[in-house]
Amino acid sequence: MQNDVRKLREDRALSQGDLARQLRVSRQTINAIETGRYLPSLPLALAIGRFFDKAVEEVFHDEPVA
Amino acid sequence: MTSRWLRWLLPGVGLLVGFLVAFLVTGRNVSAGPSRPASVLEAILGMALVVAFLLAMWFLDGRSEAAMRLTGREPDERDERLESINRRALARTAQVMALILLGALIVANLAGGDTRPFAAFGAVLAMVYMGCFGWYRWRS
Repeated sequence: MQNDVRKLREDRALSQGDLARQLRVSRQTINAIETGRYLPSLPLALAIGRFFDKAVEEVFHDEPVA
Repeated sequence: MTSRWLRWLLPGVGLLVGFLVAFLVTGRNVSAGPSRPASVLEAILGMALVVAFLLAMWFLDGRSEAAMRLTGREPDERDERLESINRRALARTAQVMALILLGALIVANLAGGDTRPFAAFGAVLAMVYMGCFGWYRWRS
């Protein structure tokens, strides 16, 4: 599973800590999601999508975006 | 319990354990008689190990998630990834505990010892597992 969390975060000039505070998780959890080591729960995935104003499937993909 | 209290829980318990270890080591040596004189050095070493653990936790606090969990300084009230890690760690610990219990039962049986405590503990573990499995299956 790939995701665009890092790109979306960097586009908004947010640090991992900033995003973590907004989503009420740890900075390490954001890092683990960005690097694909941790697949978030559906509620957290929805919260991430909502935060970036995107649908979940626009943030998380089966295949890497070309 | 507030995080302020949790912050002091580990150092407090750690120091208590340190003193307890020192006390037990000294007491054990005293009860062993003159052939095993009380060793202040052993007591200090026992306490030093606990204090070293505490210092390591304080040093790693803020750097290591595991240390933060042990010191009660987790970044947020509910971090789902840490909860998931915690659940997996608990499950692995239970598996290892069951294996150790089984091994101890076999060893005790071969040595002709009393296996009933191991069997009873194993039965309790099995019942708890089955109960929890049934409960969570019913709930989800």
